[in-house]
Amino acid sequence: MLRQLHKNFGDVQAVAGIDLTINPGEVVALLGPNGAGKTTTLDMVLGLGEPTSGSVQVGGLTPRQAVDAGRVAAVTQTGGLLSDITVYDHIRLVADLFGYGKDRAEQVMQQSGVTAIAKRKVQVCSGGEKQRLKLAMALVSDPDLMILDEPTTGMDVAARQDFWADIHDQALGGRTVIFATHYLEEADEFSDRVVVISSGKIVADGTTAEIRALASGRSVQADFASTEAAQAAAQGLAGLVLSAKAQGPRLIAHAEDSDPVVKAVFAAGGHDVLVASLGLEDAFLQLTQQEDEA
Amino acid sequence: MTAVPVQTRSTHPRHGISWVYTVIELKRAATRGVTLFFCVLMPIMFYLLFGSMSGMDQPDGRGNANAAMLAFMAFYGASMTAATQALTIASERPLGWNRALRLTPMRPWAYMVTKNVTSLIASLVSVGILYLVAAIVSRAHMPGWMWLAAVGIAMLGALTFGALGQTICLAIKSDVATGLIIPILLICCFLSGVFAIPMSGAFFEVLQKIVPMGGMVNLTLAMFGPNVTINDTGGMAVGDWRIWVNLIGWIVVLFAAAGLAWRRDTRRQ
Repeated sequence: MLRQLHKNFGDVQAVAGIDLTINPGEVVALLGPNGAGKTTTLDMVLGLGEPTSGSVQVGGLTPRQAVDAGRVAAVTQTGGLLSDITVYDHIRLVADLFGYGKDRAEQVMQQSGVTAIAKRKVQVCSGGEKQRLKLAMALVSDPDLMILDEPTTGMDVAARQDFWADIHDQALGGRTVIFATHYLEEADEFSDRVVVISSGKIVADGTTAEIRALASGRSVQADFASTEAAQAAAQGLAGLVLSAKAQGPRLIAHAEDSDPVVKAVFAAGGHDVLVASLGLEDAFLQLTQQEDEA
Repeated sequence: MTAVPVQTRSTHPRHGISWVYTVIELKRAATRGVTLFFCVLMPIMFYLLFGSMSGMDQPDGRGNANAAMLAFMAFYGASMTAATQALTIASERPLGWNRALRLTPMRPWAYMVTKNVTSLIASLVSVGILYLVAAIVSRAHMPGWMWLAAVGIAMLGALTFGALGQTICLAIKSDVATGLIIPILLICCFLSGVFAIPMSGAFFEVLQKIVPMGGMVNLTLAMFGPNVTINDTGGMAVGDWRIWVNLIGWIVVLFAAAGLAWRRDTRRQ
């Protein structure tokens, strides 16, 4: 789907080579800190930005063709609404642009739970109501692929839970979904697959269970006599660890079970060994920071 | 693949003009305070104010001075309506509305066309309300064809200042654009003699023929007769080249500028 995707803004490389294939029906979380390139990547999938190099295909179509055909739709982070018109007018307009009539507008309003606020102007809607409206607008064309770019930014915990519950119950059944988030729990709870990106690159890609394994494991760090020795030790740990890396003469490894790793590290000549348990937060930070330093 | 059966959809998504969108835009224009004040109330107030000054009922060429003031206020209101409609382009940008529209089959050019169509319709409404008041007050006298011709001139005004507004909104930052358009329009009004405030001297006489709106003033007066003047402006024949170069020239130049600004802007996005 995404092939060797690059995007530069002047000298800044926002997306630095992303290769990603997403299968129909998958719910994928794009997890990364602010500025990781999540929105830039999703914009290219939506045809809102052109890649500097590389290509994007949505079900065999270019992003623009996919948008025109109503195959892909999005709920963006903020904005995208006019404050002085009603909820209904927004949906009616999008329906009309896709060639539908009023009945389709009524239908998606019910589906996304905005019928009760149909006559309300957007300026008096709460953050949660606005996101629900945007969801309704995105559902109009009955897309195969739904993109949610940090859809719950600025919502409180209760509103966030409600929003996701609704998405799961009514909106997303059977659709392919890609959502960007920097809330770890959100990625963990609502997706089948988590793609962690940092500095415009994919640093981890796995099922939620696999990412959870990263999170539930331990980190083992040790110093070695030289960079070469640390690298040799890192290679020697294959099979025992989820990941192992040398940063200069320091070895950093993640493992489900740390005891055999520690033994192997001592055997390889490591000293000043540090073993620590990892939370989801730590795993995430570690994944993204390693990439920054490399 | 779908949870709910989807109703039949027409085979023609709208890449271009959507009447639903146009109606929504008109509704927005009708509920904006600024629009109503500058575009509907102000022309009516000025018309009643200037039109009741002494001497305005005197016959002057094919009509009376009151009728000339009515025609002035018609294109003033239409120009203001079109300019404030263009302002919405500047205010919608930071809201991400353009991005939202780009996730539909609507093309960016269709957005601009919709804005122009809306501004022409809204301008017609502004002129219509003014005419209604004028008909009730019944002080303006001119032949029927001139009432219609004045509507035509008002539409030229709407095109001119709509294009000017769009150029400014597309070319510069939105908060600055908002503050520029109405003052520019008011300066054009003063320099072209719409508010019937005397600006004498050879310099202003030349400037009056050059500024946007000068052509509208001169054509209006020319309709009343080749010798009709207000405060030294006017006195031209309907076919005078200076009138038409001004009218057509500004529309061509400003739409070209708007087109350029638009192309630069879409490339940047």
